[in-house]
Amino acid sequence: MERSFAKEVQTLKLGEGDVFHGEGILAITKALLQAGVSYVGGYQGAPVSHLIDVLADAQDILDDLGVHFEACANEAAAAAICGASINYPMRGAAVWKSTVGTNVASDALSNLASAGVKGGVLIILGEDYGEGSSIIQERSHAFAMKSQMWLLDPRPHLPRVVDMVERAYELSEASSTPVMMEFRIRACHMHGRFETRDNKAPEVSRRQLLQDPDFDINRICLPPATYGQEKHKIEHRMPAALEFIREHRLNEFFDGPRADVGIILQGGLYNSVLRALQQLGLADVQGNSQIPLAVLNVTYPLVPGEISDFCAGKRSVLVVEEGQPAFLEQAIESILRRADIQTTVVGKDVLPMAGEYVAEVLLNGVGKFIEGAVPEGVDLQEVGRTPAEVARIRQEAATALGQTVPTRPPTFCTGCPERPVFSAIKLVERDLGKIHVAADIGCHTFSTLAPFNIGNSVLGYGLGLSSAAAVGPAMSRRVVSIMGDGGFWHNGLNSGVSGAVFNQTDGVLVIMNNGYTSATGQQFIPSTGKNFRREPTGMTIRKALEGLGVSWLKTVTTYRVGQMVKTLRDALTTSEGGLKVIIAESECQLARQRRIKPEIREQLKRGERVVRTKFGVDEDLCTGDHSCIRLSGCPSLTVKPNPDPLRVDPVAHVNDGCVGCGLCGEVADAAVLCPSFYRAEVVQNPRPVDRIMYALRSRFMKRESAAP
Amino acid sequence: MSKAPRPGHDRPFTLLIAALGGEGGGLLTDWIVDACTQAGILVQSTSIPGVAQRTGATTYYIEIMSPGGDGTGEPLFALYPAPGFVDMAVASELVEAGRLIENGYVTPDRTILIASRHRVYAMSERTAMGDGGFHAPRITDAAMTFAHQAVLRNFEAAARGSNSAINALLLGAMAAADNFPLSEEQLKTAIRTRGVAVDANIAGFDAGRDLALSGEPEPGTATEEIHPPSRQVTLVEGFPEAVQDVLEAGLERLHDHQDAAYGDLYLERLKRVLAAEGSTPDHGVLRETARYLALWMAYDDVIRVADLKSRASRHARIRNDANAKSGEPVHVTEFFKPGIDEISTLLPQPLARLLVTWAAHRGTRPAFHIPLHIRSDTLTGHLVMRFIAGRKTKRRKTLRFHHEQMMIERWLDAVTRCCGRSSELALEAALCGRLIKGYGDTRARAGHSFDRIFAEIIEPAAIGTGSAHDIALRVRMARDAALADEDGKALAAFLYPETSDTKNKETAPSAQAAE
Repeated sequence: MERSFAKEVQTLKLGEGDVFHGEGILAITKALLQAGVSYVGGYQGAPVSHLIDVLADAQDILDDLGVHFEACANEAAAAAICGASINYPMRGAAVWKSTVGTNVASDALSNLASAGVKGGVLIILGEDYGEGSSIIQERSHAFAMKSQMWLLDPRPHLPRVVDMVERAYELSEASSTPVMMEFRIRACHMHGRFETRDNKAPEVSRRQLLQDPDFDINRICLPPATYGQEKHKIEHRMPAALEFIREHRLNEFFDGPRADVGIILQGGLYNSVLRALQQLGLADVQGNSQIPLAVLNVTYPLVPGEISDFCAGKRSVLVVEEGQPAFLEQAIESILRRADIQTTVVGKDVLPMAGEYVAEVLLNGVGKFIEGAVPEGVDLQEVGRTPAEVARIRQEAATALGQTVPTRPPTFCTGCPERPVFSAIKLVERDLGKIHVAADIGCHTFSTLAPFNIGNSVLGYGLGLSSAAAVGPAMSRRVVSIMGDGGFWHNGLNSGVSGAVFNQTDGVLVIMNNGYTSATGQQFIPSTGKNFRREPTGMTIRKALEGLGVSWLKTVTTYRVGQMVKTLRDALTTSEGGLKVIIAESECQLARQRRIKPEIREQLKRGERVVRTKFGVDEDLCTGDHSCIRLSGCPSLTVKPNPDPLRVDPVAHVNDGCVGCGLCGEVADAAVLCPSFYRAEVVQNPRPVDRIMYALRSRFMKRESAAP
Repeated sequence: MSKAPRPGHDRPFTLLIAALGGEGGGLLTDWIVDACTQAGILVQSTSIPGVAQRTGATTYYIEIMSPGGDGTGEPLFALYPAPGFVDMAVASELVEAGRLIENGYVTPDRTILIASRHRVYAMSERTAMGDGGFHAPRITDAAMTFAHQAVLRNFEAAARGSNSAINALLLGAMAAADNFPLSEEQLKTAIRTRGVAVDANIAGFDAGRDLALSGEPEPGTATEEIHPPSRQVTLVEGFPEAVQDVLEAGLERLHDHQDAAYGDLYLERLKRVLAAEGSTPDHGVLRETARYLALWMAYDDVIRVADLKSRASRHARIRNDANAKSGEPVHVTEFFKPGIDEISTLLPQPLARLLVTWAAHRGTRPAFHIPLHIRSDTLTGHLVMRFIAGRKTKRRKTLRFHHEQMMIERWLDAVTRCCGRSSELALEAALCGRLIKGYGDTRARAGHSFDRIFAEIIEPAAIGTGSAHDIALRVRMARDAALADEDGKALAAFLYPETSDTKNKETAPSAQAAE
C-alpha cells in the first residue's frame, strides 16, 4: 500500500473503558485483538480489505501481542493457515470477500471443518451482495451447510458485533467447529461506536512458543478418520453448538403486542426491517416493534426449539431472508412440521427471491405480509398508506424525468495504464476482425463495459487464460486472454500459465502489470518488489514465466499504443505456436499519483524545474464525433457545449483531472483520428535558458502574426 | 405519524449524499460524523463506495439524533435510505440529483434537496456520435416539483472560484438549511480537527453557505447557452430576419476560411434554397441549410488545421486551459499523421489525381501515414504551420475542394427539390448535413452514410411519389441510425432490412454446423 493507515492503527490500541469510533470492519479488527487471536490471515477484497490494510500497518501492536499476520497469496492459503487451530489451542481468524473468496478457500475449509478445531477459528466474510457489489450474486449460506460450519449474521450494532466476535470463538471452541461471520457492504462501512477492552495477548504466539508438535490420527483428513469426523459432526459438534447458542442467547427475541403474528429475520437485516416497521407505523423511534421479532444472529444452524417456541400460538410468521435459495424458510417450515405447529410461514411469496433487501423492498414486503396476516388491532389502512405514497411518487418522478437518467457504470480511472491496452485491442480488431477475449477479474474487467465492450467471458480470478483453453482451438482467429498481476499471483500462474505451457496451448496472454492488486486498494503482491513490511522480494512476473518455459515473451509499456498494436498483431499472426505472453507494464495511476504528488510538491518548493503535462482539444477543430472518447473512455476526456454558434454537437474537452498520461494523443495518432489534440507542457520553475527561449519565441510569434 | 415531528430530535434526521468517486464524499461524511461526536449528538453513517473510485456513482447515508432526555434509550438507526424518509438529499452533480428524484428519495413532505447544477457527463452521454446529453431542464424542473425545498447552484464553479473542493461547499450549503441539526461552528470545528486542507475547506464552507443563501436564479434558465454572435454585422440583404444570426456566423466563417468570393458563393447557394422554400414563418429549411452549408464549405483540411493551430490567440487559450502561471513557458506538441489524402490536398489537382490513383493501385492508401509530432511553439514548427496555412490561396485547385463542391451541390439540389414536395421533407434533408463531420476515417465513414441515405431515400423521394411525411420520418430515422454506431450496422439494418435479416439467418446455422 502506498497509503498509510497510521490513524486507524491508533484505534486498535484503545484499552479498557475507552470508546472506539470508526467503521464496522475496523471494529471487527479490534474485536479480534480483544479476543486474543494468535494469528490473522486473509486476502483483500471489498468490503473487507480494510481489515488487512490496517493490520499490515499495525506491526508494532502485532509484535507486542505476538500475533502473526499473514498477507496470503489467495483465499485458499488464508483458509489453510487456520490449520494451526486443528492441533493447537490457538485462536485464529481469516478474512476475505465472499462468495468468490469462499469458493477459492473451499478445499481448505472442507478439510478444516472435517478435522475440527481445538482453538477457535473465525472466518470473516464480506458478503458482497446487492448495490455496490462487484461480483456474482450468491450467498455464503450454502458453504456453511455443506461443510457444517456455523454461520453468524449479527445485528449491525457495533457493541453487538464486537460481543459476537468473542462469542464466536467460544462457540467454535465449545463445538470444535470453525465459525463464519458474514458482514454486508453497508455494515462493513458503517460508522459507529463501542466501549473497548484491552487487547489480549494469546496463550500461544510468536512470543509464547509451542514446544512439542501434536499428532492425532483422528485429526487427519484421510479415511478412516474422515468417517469418524463426519459422525462426530452430527453426534457431538452440532448438539454442542445448539446447546451453546441457546444457553448464551446468541439469537434475540423481542415481544410485541401483536402477538398473533411474528417476524423471523437474519440479524444483519434487523435495522432495515425495523425501519420498514417504523414507516408502516408499527415500531417507535427506539425500534420497539409492535410485531414480535426473532432476530437470528446465528443463521446456521437454527435451534429448532427456539423457532417452534417463537411460532407457537401465532397464526402467521414472516421470514425475512435475503437472497436465494430460501434456506431459512425451508428449514423453518421443516422445524414447524416436525413440531406439528400450524403457523403459516410467509417469506419469498411477499418478498423477492433474488436481489438485495433495500428499504423499499422491505417496506412493500412487510406491508404485504401485514395486509395478508391481518394482525389483531392493526389499522390496515394506515399500513397501506406509505407504500402507496412511495409508489405514487416514484411513478410521478419517472414521468417528470421522461427517461431513465444515465447510469454511471464503473470505468478505468483517469490515466489508468490498462485503458491503452484495450484501445490497442480495438484498433487491432479494425484490421484483423473481432477477437474472442477471455477476460479476467480485476480493474481490467471494466473493459467489458462501455466504451470498449471487450471481453467475451469472465470465469474467475486468475482464470482468464484457463477459460480460453477450449474456445481457442475452436476459433478461426487466435484468442486473447487477459490477466492482471493480482490474478497472476493469486491463481493464474499455476492454473493458467503452467497449464497452457504443459498443454502446448496456442494463444495470446496479456498480463497487466501495474504493480498492485489495484481493484482492492493497491495492496502489495509478489511482483510489487516488496512485501507489506517493505522488505524486498526480488520476484518478477518475467522470471516466473521464464521459469515455466514461456519463450515468446514481450514487455510493452502500455501507454505506447502503437507499439502495443504492433505487438498484439505479431502475437495474433505469428506462425509460432504455443503461448505468447505480452506483459503490459505501467504503474497503477492512482498509486502513482498518491506517490508522486507529495514528491512534486517538494520539488516545486525547492525551486526545481518541474514539467507538468496536460492534454487538450482545439475546440474549433473538434467536429463533435467523439471517436476519441469511444477509443479511450478516460474520465477526464469529456464533452462540453459547442462554443461554435453553427455547430450543435458538443465538443470533446480535456478537463482539469488530466494527469498527462498521453493516451488521447497516442490514440489520435495510432487510429489516425483527428488533429485536434495537443500536448501542453508547462515548465514550472523555469531555468534561465527556458525563459530566454520562451521570450524569443513569443516575440517572434507576435511579430509574425501581426504581419499581414 | 404524530404531529410535526422535529427531525434530529423526535426522530432521526436522515441525510443522503450522492457523489462521484474522487469528490471527497468520504471526507464530507467524516466531517459530519466528527461534528456530531464532538457535540455529543448520536450519529451513524455508512456508504457504498464500491468501485466508485473509478468515477462511478456513490452514496453516503447518515442518520443523526440528539440524545433523548426522557430516558427512552437510543434511537434505531438504519443503514439504508428509505424513499419517503429522507430529510436532506445532497447531490454533487445534476444527474445524480435526478437519480435521487428517480429513486423516490426526494419527497415534497420533507426533503430539502441541495444539488450542484453542473454536469459531469456519463459515458453514454460522452460516447454518442452526436449530442447524447440528458436534457438537464427535466431534472431542474423535477427538483422544483418533488423537493420540499430545492437549492440548486453551481457549486463546482464556486469551488474553483474559492480554490476549494466541492465537498466543503456542499457542507456549507447544508449548514445554511433551516432543518440541519448541526451548527456552522460545530461543522467548522470538525473541519479544523480533521486537519485536511483546513484553510481551503473553511473558505469553501463559507462560499457554499453564501451561495446557498444567495438568490441565484432558480432553474428554468438554461445553464448552457449558445454564445451570441461576437460582433455586429449589417443585415444580409434579401434574407429573412429569422436566419440572420446563422448567416452572419456562416459568412464570417467562410471569409475566414477562404475569402469574400467564397462568402458570395455561400449566399448565392442559399438564395436558391430561399427561392425553393418560399415564405414561411420560421424559414426552418433555410436556417438549417445555412448552418450546415457553412460548416461543409469550411471543411477542415490540413490548410485549415494548420491555420487555426498557428494563430496567436490559440496560444493564449492553451495557456489558460493548462492553468499556466505567467512566466511559465508552455511547450505545445501537435499530433499529425498525414496520409495520401492530406498530402494530395497540398498538390494541384492533376498531380493529386495521379498520386491518389497510384496509391489506390498499390493498395497503400489506407495504411500509409507519416506520424509527425510538431512542436508548434518553436520557430521551425510555427513556420511549417504557417507555410501550410499559406496554401489557402491554392485551395480552389485541390482535388478535395473539387470533390466537396460536387457533394455540396448534390445535397443542395436534393434539398431544393424536396422543398417542392414538403417543407418537412426538405428540413430532414437539410439536417443530413449534420452527418458530415470528422477527419480521415471518421469523415470517410460519415460521407458513406450520407451517400447511402441520399441514394436510397432522399433522391428517389425528391422526384418520386409516396407520402412526403412518411419519407421525412424515414430520413430522420436513417439519420439517427447513422449516428447510432461507427460501423454503419444500424444504418444498413435500417435501409436494407431484408438483406441483413437473411444474412443473420444464413450465419446462424453455419455457426452451429461449425460447432
